[in-house]
Amino acid sequence: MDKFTEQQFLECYDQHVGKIYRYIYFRVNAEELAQDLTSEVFLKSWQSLSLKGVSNPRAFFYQVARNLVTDFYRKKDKTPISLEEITDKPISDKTASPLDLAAVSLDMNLVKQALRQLSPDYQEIIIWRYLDELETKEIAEILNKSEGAVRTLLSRALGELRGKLT
Amino acid sequence: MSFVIWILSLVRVLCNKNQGFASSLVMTEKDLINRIQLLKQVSPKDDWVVSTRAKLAFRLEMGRKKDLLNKDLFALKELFSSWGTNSPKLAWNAVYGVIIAFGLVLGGGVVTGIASIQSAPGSPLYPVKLSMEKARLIASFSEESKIKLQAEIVDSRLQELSVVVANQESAEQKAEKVTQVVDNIKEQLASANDQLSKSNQSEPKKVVAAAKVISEKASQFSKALAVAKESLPANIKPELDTKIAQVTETGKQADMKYLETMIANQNSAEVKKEDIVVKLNEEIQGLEEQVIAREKKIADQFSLADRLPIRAVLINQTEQSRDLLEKANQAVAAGDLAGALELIKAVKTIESGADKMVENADAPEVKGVATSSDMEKLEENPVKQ
Repeated sequence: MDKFTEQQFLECYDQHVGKIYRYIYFRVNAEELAQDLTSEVFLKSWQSLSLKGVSNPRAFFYQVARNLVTDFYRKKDKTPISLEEITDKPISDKTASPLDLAAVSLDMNLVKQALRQLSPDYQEIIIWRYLDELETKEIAEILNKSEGAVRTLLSRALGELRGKLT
Repeated sequence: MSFVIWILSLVRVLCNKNQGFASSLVMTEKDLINRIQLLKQVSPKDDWVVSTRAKLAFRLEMGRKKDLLNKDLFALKELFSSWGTNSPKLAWNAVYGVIIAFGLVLGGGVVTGIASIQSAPGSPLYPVKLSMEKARLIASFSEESKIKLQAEIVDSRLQELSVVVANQESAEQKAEKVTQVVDNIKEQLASANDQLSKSNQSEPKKVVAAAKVISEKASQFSKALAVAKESLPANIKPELDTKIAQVTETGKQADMKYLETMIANQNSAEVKKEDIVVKLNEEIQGLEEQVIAREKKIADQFSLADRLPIRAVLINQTEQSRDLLEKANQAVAAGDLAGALELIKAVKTIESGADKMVENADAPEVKGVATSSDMEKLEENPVKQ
């Protein structure tokens, strides 16, 4: 595996920054913190990728992001922000009516709150599979688990989320 | 009002048979996944994505430069350690060049000096020539003589460039030589601009004359570079393209410096107000053309769903530029030349930022915004009302 050039790395940034940000945002639930940690993911990743290549940079970014989030909670002894603090800015969609926007925004918040009530393992597996659309194989690579174990985990996570939404 | 909307939307969600609360009792896996995918709409802010990318690129570049510096220092140590013990191999690198050049300037070496003056890029004596020029610049004490010397150096590079273009050599050799000239010219123009800023403003005639010379040389050089670029095949241009763009940018700075100098001295007898107006109008016209060209590019390249957010940012910047250019035109008409210059500078800053955004957006997927594939999936699985 070749080392990454600056150009290749910046292309990777363009491709993945949105998804990495979203993953971190759902894990820490604060915009500024998500921004800081996302920047750190790419800086730390460059230190490794410039020295040795990796076959799957996306999985690598998620691993670094996961470690940073874990470190963040461990070092600061922080608990995720309470549900009451979870409020989103309205979704801007020029084609939708205010009523539609309000409905979508409300439903989004319900899903988000339900997601936040899950364990970190369940949260991240749902984010990876259904938001970032990672293959089971790729999730298995990030978590260092078998594909079967990932499928089981995913099924349980979905079951629990469904329970929270009913 | 917002409370009413909220209540209505709550009722709507509750009444939704496919996706709402009531239906969630019998929510299928597909419904559940559709609802999870609503969260795809969470994305980072565009300006944060752009500024973080710029910071990242800067950090990467700084890291690379630091590595290069460390390598150079190591090489320098190696060089001098061998100097002390063995007879050194005379590689014509910058260190030898500087030493020899200072030797020539201070000691009056004749043969090598004359030979080096005739040397062209790629010649073993060319680094000596460059170092001699540097040494002459250091040795000239007055600002006037420094600027004059810099203009001579730019002339010299122009001649070299025409020789390189005319030579029958392989494209690679040619590209290497052009790069050598371009690197040096960029340094010279930047240094001349810097020198001009430090010039003694009590002698407006000299300062304006110097600024004019540098601006003209920079313009000539930009044209010569465009010709040189045409003489090279496309596959070896990319790196050179970047360097040429940098030189052109430095040339534009020289042009602005000339304008600034004229406006700063507009009350002196040496500066004609009409000349300033002509120059300002040229700048405004150039920028208007630039804005139109980018507008066309936005329409051609940024209509895909992937690039909608960046397109919106670019359109906003285009409108700002147009507005400022209109005001600049009005300022020129009203005789507020300094005001017009400031407006032109503001447009240049906006344009430079917009150009970078367009350049960065050439990557296959644009920074964290919802991609067309995401949009297609959302369309396939719309939020059911």
